[in-house]
Amino acid sequence: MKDSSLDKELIDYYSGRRLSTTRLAALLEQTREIRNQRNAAASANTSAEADGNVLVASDFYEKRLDQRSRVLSRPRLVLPLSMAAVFAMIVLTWLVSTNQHPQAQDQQMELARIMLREAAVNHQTKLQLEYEENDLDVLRESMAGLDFDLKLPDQFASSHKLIGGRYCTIGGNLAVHLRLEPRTDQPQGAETPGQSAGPRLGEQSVFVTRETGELAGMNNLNFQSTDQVSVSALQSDGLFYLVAQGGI
Amino acid sequence: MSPVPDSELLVIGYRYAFALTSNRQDAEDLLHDAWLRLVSRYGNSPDKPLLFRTIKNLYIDALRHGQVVDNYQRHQRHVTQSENTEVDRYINADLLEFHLNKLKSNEREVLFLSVIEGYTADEISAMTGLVRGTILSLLSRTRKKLRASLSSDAESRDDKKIGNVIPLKSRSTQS
Repeated sequence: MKDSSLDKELIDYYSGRRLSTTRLAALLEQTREIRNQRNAAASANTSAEADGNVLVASDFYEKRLDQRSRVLSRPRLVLPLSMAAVFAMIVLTWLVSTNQHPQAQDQQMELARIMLREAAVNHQTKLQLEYEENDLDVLRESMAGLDFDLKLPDQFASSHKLIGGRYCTIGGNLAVHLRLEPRTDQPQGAETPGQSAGPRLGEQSVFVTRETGELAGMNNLNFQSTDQVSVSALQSDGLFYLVAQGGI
Repeated sequence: MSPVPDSELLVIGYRYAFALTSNRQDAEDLLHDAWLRLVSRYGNSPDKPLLFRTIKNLYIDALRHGQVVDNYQRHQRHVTQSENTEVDRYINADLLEFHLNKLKSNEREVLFLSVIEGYTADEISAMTGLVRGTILSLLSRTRKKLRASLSSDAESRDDKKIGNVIPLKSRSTQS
């Protein structure tokens, strides 16, 4: 319940209650000082916080950079690793190829060595000819079992005379062993194709087979057996020739 | 709403503190402590409810520590111990202040907040932590109490005035 007269008296009463001017002035002055101190501290804190923020930011960025470097380190690792892998592949391929090549070369050389020795032996044994024929065309017709067209280089025809031929094998391939003798009108010392600088002694054995892949690259090989048979290899028109001559 | 100037807020705070303590010096000290605490803590000027709450808390602390004597108790002591100073009181002290001092601090507080500051019961409830019904009943009781106190005081003063004045009839009779 409102009592307006009482309220008025109360309002008048409290309106008359005023803070003493000295206390009011002291409070306002202290308030100013406190605010100044706070502002100074705040500005100092702001700068300190700014420094702290810089540190925090730097830490943050360091962390980010760390993470980033970690992330980036994968590609950075992957790239060298991949390059190293490629390099290793190249090296391995090269090694394999170089290893295989000498091996293949070794095998080829071994095959060539066997063939040359075989030719030397066959030449030296002077086995019985199956077909004695001076005409190569007739001999070709006679030896119908050959899987290649028997031919002789022209230089043989001009310098040697065909005696005959027989079936044989060279390096596991079907071949024909032709025996030739120098033509009597041919001067001594004249070289024939495939003949090395060795002495030219009597008959020559020409082993002819079809040129296969494994015989490729065996051109211009020379072999000298212990019994003085010299064997040389040549290739012409898809045929592989071993020419053996000499011997004791 | 424009912010209340510091000087004005200090006066309002002082009046609230005075409503609690009914003592000029205690009120100034309370206000001083409360104000500096708030300014030191927040920097900016506090709003009125915060200032009042701080003053009230400091007042309760001071009461607990015996630094401030509840003016109701002070009044009771004063009444019992110095009956013979009543004439001086009537002469020097404000009548309303005297009767306000007879109220309890929470009664003066609620009266101050309601009448002087114009807060509603809900607002006072929020500020003091008392329920709204308690505020309303406390406010009503305080008004009645103050009114009754003032009325009885006025009656007694009238009686004393009458008592002090010797009727002419009796004066002539006596003489």
